[in-house]
Amino acid sequence: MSDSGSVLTAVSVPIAREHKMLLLNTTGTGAPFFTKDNPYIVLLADPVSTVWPKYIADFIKDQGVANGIKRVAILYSTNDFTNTQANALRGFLKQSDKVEIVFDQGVPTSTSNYNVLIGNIAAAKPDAVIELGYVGNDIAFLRNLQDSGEQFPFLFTIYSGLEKEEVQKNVGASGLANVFTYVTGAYIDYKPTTGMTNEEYRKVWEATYPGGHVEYGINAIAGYMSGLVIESALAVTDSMDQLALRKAIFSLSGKLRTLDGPFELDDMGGQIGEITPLGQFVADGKDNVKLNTIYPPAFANAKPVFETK
Amino acid sequence: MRRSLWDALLVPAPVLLCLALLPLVVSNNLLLFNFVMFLTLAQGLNVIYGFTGFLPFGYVGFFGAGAYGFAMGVMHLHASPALALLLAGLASLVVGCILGPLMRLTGAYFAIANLAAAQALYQIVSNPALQDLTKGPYGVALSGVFAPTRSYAASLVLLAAVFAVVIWLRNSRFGLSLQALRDDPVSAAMAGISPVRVRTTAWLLSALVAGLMGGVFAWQISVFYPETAFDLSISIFAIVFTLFGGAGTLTGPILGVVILYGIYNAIGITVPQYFQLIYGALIVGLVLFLPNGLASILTRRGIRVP
Amino acid sequence: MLIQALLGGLVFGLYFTLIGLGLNLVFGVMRVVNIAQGSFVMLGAYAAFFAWGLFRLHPVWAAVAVLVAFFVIGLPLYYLMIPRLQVAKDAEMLSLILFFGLAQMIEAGASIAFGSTERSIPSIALGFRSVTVLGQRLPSAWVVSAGVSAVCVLGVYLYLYRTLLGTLTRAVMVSRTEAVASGIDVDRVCAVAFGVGIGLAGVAGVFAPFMFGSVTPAMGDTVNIAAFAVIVVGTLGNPLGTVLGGVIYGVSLLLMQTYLSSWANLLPNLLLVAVLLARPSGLLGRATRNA
Repeated sequence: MSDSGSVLTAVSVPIAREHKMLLLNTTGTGAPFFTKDNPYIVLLADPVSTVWPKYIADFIKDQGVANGIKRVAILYSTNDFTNTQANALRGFLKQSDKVEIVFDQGVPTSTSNYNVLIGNIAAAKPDAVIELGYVGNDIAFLRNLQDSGEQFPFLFTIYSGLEKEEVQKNVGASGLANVFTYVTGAYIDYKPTTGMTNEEYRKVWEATYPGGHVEYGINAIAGYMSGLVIESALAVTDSMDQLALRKAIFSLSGKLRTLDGPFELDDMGGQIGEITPLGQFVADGKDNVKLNTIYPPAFANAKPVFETK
Repeated sequence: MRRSLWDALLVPAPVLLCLALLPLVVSNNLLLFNFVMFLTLAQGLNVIYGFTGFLPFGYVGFFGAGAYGFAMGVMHLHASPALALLLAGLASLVVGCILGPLMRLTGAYFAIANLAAAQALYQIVSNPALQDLTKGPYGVALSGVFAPTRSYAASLVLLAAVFAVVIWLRNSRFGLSLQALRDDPVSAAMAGISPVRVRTTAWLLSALVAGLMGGVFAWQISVFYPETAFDLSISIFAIVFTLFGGAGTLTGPILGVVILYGIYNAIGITVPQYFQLIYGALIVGLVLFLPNGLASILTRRGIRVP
Repeated sequence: MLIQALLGGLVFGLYFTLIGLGLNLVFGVMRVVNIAQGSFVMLGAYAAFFAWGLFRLHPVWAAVAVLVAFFVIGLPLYYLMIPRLQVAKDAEMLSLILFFGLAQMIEAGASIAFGSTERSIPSIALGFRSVTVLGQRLPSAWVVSAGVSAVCVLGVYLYLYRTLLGTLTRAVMVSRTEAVASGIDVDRVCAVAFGVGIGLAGVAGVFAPFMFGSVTPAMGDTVNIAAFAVIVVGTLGNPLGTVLGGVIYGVSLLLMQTYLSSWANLLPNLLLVAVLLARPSGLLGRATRNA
């Protein structure tokens, strides 16, 4: 099942369970899918949404606070994917008493007009604004923000990193400058234990799909390494029985490293290894932006830039 | 009485028989279920539009209310499917009562207001503030009551019941009074027919049909979002099918569903915009040249269509 | 925040006046509910998008072009569809269904031609990003569209009360049969009114990408309900009444968005239903049946 958001996955989870078939879930990350009583699901390529925002929270609690980032505004779209991330983020941030959440609101996923919301957020005077939505929400938000002239020291959106080309096409390089986002496997060179490296894979991809008709991005990587995981699991499985397959996949947990990072599953089948680091776009001179990795320190290749008014 | 029996044998019986036996040869149960769903909804719409002349653009509001009534019954009261279906019907009746006063409006305003009401219901149900009650925008998962065969059987029972209702309306005094009211309200009122009472009964009946179907839908599909249950294209399809086949008859909506929904499944699923273009053009053509649908081809010549 | 909401609502509301204006005119003159209004707004929006994308045409000029183009399209469209219906038994319902079919065709055509991804126009297209009024920063699009709307309202008012054709139009609004009896070419009057109505919808559409954030083929439905809410709250036939309706709508919408944002989408629907339930005679006179 290849489903970026979670909507198709939502329907397939009970069907797979009913028919007692193992659901190989590439990128559907909603928390409700992984329950203790359902062994028929494993998440292969994206981190489960309950841990995905971990590095954002860690960064803010650690380096953010040291740089005066104390007041946080959370704006999220009300659907499974981003709501789970918002809940997770809130939970992580509340663990620290130096960080204060001054604005916390959910809006419908169909929202495309953020003018009033940006005004409300600005009125709460936050140091950090974290907007968790789908690509349409991110684009609308960044555009309205540009128009409003407001600036925040720390601004985060999900899809700036996950679908950089699409977002940049709509908001321009100036709209993306200094925006924080997730750094996906497409931009980091994990040294995988199996399969091609990022460079090699990209070359093969562009040869197979020339002309940019099919974008190279996180989804391309997710599909490829899901295939690799399945291949590795089939090599070590006892039998084709569904639960034996599950055991085989779980045996790879902790031992396999993929283009997406370390492969590690929790006991409910959720992916907790391939957590995406935090990155920031910086202007690259000629109307383009470059994605630097900021946190965690093990992967960082640049220092963060905080915008001031 | 004899005519009703004849009507029942001629059209609905073969349809029901077909639908009951098809699962044995056709493996796509969801497709069959959708056919049954639209057959039922088209007839429910027929009750209100064909017999009273009111066109509820927001018919899906009752459907969604029923689906959520069922869902809330299962989630909060741990009700059995049968009880939950009753709750679904109740939910749609409540909505029907609240929206009843809209019937004071003229045709066009009623249609738009009804559409707005269905949207309003959708917004209320899907709001995160009501998350504890309806699970808001995050969708409902009723995996505990997932029972595809039994819910399909329930849908067939509902369809049979709706057929019976429409046959009764076609052949009874009550049905005639509805039609009189539609054709000339002032004279009908003078003849002693109470417009408010008669129309409200038809309205609530129609709402009940949609609500029960919504409940069965929730039972069948068991995982759905507010957008699915309140999808406007459900009412639009039901309206188009009924108009195309010929409202006010029993066979009209059946014809409309079988032909148009059949075309949709043949070509429309992959390119729904083309289907939309086709039925849009069909409606325009229909209004200009054949306002009473396919069935009127026969009825114009005086042939009675059941 | 309150001042921002009130001021913004006033300006935003004038835009909604524009959306309702065409609808009000058509209904007043022909007693036809143009449920395809939203679709024409959507077409206007796409026209503006392509005008900007291909020719870098400033939206205000695009609006003028759209007004003329849609008026020209509206005339034959009227003659094709309406006169046949006026003699049918259930003209009002039939015309509703007819326009509904038309709306579906337009929406489908747009989906096929343009695809369903959201398109948007950067507000820099208007020449400036924002304006500061009374200490509140307002997006440029709001101010420009409010200005255009005011011009249109004035235009319609002048048309109805200062031109010959306008006087004839008002006569038809009052009583169609008497107008026919007086020798007025009712079809011509109605055709012009229809063309103007569609043209106004198109102009409203030109600014839709800014006001709503983006344009998709399916946006017609939301626009329709907003348009109906505006004219239901306002008054039939009188363009100034639509101004009142639009402003009330705009202010309440913005207040909702500021203080109760997750419920903001509910407002148009609730407003429409509540007003029609509470005052079934509508503020428009003929909304109720006689029996």
